[in-house]
Amino acid sequence: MTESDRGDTATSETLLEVRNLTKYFYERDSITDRLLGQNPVAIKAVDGLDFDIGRGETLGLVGESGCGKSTAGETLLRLQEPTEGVVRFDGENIYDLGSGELTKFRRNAQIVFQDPFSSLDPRMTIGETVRQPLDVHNWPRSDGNVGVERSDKQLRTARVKELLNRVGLSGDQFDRYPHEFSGGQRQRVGIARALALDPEFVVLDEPTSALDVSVQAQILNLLNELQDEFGLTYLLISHDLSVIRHICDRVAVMYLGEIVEIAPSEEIFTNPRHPYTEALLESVPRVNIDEKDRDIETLTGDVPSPRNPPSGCRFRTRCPKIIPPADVDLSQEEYRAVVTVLDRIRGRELDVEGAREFAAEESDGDVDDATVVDSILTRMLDVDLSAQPPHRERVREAVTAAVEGDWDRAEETLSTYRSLCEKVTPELQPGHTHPAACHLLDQPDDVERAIRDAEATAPDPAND
Amino acid sequence: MSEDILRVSDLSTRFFTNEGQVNAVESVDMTIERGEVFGIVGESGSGKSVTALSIMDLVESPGEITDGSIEYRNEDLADAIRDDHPHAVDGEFVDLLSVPETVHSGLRGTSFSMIFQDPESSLNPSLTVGEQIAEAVEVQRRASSRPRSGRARTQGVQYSLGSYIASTILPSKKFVTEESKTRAIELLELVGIPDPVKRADEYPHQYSGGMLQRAMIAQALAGEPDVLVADEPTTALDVTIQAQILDILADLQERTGMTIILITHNLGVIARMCDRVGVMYAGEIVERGTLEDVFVDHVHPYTEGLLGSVPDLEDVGGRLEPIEGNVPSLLAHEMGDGCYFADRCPRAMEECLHKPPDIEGEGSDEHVAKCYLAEHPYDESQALPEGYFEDRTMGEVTADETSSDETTEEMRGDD
Repeated sequence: MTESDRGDTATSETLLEVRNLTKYFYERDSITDRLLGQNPVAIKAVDGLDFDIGRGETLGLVGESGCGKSTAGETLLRLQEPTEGVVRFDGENIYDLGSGELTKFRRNAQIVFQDPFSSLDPRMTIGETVRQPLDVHNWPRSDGNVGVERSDKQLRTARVKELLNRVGLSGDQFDRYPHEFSGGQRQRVGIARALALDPEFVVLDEPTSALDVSVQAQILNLLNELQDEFGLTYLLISHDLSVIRHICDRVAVMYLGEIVEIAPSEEIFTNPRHPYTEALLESVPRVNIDEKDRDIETLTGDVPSPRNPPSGCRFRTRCPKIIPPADVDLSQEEYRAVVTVLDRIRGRELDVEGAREFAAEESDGDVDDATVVDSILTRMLDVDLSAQPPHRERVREAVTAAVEGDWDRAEETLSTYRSLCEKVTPELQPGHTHPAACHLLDQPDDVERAIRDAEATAPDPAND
Repeated sequence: MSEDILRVSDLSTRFFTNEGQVNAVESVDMTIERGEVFGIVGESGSGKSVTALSIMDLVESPGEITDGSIEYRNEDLADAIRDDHPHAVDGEFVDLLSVPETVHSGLRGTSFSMIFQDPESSLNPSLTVGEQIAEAVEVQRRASSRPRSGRARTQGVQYSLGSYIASTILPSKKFVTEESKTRAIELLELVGIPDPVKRADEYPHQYSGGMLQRAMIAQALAGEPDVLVADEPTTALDVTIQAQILDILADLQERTGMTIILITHNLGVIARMCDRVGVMYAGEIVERGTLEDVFVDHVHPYTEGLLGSVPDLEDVGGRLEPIEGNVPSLLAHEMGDGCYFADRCPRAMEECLHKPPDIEGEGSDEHVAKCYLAEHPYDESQALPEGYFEDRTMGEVTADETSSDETTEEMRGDD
């Protein structure tokens, strides 16, 4: 572990500094859409990342599919132009580089892709594939002033063979085509290609997810050895926590475009601070005969869409530790049930028509609103709120309003249940060795101030 | 004491391709008890999916089940076909490979059901999820009311212009009736899809991966099957969603008492779900037994290698201990007569050049391994000389961590 604080004090050891890296993709952004007056819809794939990577370090970027980790990797190599933000490589902002400097940067920063089947050109031999970056960058070159010397081509071919040998293939396989190789061997070719130009920094984008476990282990060992040998710095993007733990020095956990927690590997795995990290760790099935008896509290629901991420903390829609307002004395389970109803009402997603149809089918005839409300409540509330009569009445009132079509009143009825987590966005604590963006933890001053403001302006302040 | 529901013995499935005969499944034996979760674990190409397809009778040309028997316990079925096919019936068991195709395929859905790895490509993108499940419900209803007729099928492929026009004029909703639709919605609710009424009218592309997998489970449950074959049901999913799906499967199994055959490459999933496990390698079950037999008392070096390859989440060790080399091709003429794992095995001995039989191992009485190490410990004096298999691998270079030493020579010696 070379460096463990994210802090804004970049030391000479820092190779890569990422500040506020943001990448939005836009839908409905074509000329026809503009003529029709459609507003583009932003998909917030990566939304304000801050982190540093020290020289010789491996930083893991972990998260579920769609959380933006691959986009982050591509954007910080400038394979995608960012919407906003700065990435300093060796002190220089890579988005300001001119073409000559950019070429130099490209030599120093490489990527290994996930899918070894589609990332190699099937019509090039693996030797050509690995040599291509050498030809593109015209390196290494023969001096041309020594009597007995080798041509550029010979030099490069020799380098390719050396690389192939180094990654566990054989120089004799220079003239073979990708289809002759297994997945693990192709991934070795991909690694050789990334190392061809002797880079300092390599982004490994899910390098082993397409491989079997036994082959995965070979590749992970190889990556470890190469790092030691060539002093490489890695950014490892993966959804597999055990892979991350195995080779990373530090880990950043991403959720819906944001980093929710970043810390040294050991810290993250033994002492996770963010509820999402906890849940993620808990969900991984262990290879252990006692696994059956381990209780897992599974996260409910799916990852929300990055088109319209939840306000405040983005994890709040699934969080098992969402913070209820001070005057709401419900258990976590009960509170979660109420908040789910509130969220659905706010999104106008309560399926009133469906419930009406269903109720009608069950009772064979027309149904009044009260029956529909009952039907919705029994289906949606998997928690029994009958022990909490006032809350139960509140929810019923809101659902009744929704069934009558008065969504605003429905929303208003439940507004006292709005959590702090949706009002204020939690942030990573700057300068902390193990920052985590969660309201359960100490928050930076400006967030604390926002919390106080939000509480002061709450429509129905805590009165006890 | 639970009873056996399925007895697979000596099952062999081969594919006859242009490159030669592929022995995808070779002499597989296993017994599956009613109400258990039986796991089959192995790497890609080990034949675990083909085993599942063989049980479901879904092996397609050029594949063929060439040998063996799959005996299924079902008293009603046995009585029904005893007169016509006496050779296929043994007490309450029916050998599915000796009965006519129509009988076997008639069991799909009502007795055996399957969920596939990739929910996105397993559902029809042009029908709503509700329609597809309703269709399955209706097909299964018709099938169970006429158990032996092969006529209960979906409309089949209708891509001609005539059938297109016909289907426009006479909406082909025959299979989506009022009752089947209601049942479909119930099934969607059973697998935990919120707003089932609304979601039933949506198309697969409007579902997330986890939701689609739930829908597929719902569809598989339409015929209330005895045996559910789940082929990598969570491989395409994220861990938090995987945990949800595994929960649903365990919960459904408890509620309905069905038997699950769970196929996966993920040892963690096996540990979470299964009572008994078979480890597959190169078309064979190389080791099987209870979860404890395989995870703790394992004897086969492949099982050991597989367990050693998994990075442990709870404990960071240094290097992983992978199995060197790659999964073999399974082409019959390249397979040889010995133990298929010998060329990658760190403890291969001379006797391994002859195929080991099933040998009982330590632990429970069900524990067997296709390995001589179950009989006696490793004998170094019998070890095969290093590089013994290399001539046979025909230039297929295996992972060799030490080859870097030669690089300098290569540089000098070439071109």
